[in-house]
Amino acid sequence: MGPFLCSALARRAQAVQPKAVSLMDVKEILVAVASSGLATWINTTRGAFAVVEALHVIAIVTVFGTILIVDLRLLGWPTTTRRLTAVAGETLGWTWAAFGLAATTGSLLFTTNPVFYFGNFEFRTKMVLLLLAGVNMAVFEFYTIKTVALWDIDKSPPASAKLAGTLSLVLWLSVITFGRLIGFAASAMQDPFATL
Amino acid sequence: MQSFANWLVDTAPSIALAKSSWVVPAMQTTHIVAIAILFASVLMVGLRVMGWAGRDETLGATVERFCPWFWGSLAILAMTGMILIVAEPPRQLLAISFWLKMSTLAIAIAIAVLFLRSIDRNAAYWEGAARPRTKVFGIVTFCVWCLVVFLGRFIAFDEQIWGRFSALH
Repeated sequence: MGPFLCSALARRAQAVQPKAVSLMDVKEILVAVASSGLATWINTTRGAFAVVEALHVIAIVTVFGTILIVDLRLLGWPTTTRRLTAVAGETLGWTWAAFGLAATTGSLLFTTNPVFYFGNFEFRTKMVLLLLAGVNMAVFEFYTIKTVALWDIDKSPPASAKLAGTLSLVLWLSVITFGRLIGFAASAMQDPFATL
Repeated sequence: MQSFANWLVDTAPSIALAKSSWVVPAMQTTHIVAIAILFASVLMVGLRVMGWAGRDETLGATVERFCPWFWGSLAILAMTGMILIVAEPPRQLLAISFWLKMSTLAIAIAIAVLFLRSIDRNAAYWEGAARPRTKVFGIVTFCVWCLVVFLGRFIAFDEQIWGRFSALH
């Protein structure tokens, strides 16, 4: 969430003073975040980073695991014997709660090294993928779901629903992959995308 | 364990895996995806036990729906986990967090097996309205799996977490 906020702030500043704003201002914000009390606390308290990261993992696995249930139901696999609206109704509340925890813990992790994360290829890719997952969900919620009464149960969902489920699966798997790769880039030991 | 880790790290498979730049990230990512499947299965069955989800079907039907995912993801976790041990023996085998995770995992699996046996034998007890005891059971099970995830992530921070108690200190 951090870089979006930062770029949003930077854009707003740009609107007021078009000439004065440059990448330097973003960097100043990032440096300010890095020296904030919160960042210092996480960076210097023994085990704090590990606990926040573990909570981030708990949140991510809940987000992906519950979304996977809905995605597979959208694909009509393995069955369509339960109402899609019932399946989504009992899982998506947990998805959102877990996403809130993932965003919060993710922002906390971001504060510990904002200059690095902001410039990191894997991190930026993950943020773009998250945005795309959001767009996919919005399209589904505003258009595709409108006809759900026709295919809620015992019917193969329409191609648009199957597409939404497939895109969601691919995007969230990619989010997890790039999220994990950030850790390897951070340790700079073996970065598969170092040459990119 | 120190000598076993030292022996393992010099074996051909371990050297080959350590040299690869993609095996460890790929196995870790697959491991996380499998945790997600297992965790969601535990969560949904737990919610059904507590009467918070899936009340349009029996607990037996919910369990039947999630069982293949639970055991399937556990098998993938065991495989990717073993590959990660071979790739980085000292990092895993000398970490206190690793052994605490394995112990907690054994408890979590034992709970799952006992639960499955119990719903086979006492379907009537479990199928009725959720009782305080079954609710406590659901919450405890969820917390034990959370602890497994916590300890798993702590492997990467073993020395920081356990200080001088860590063999990696």
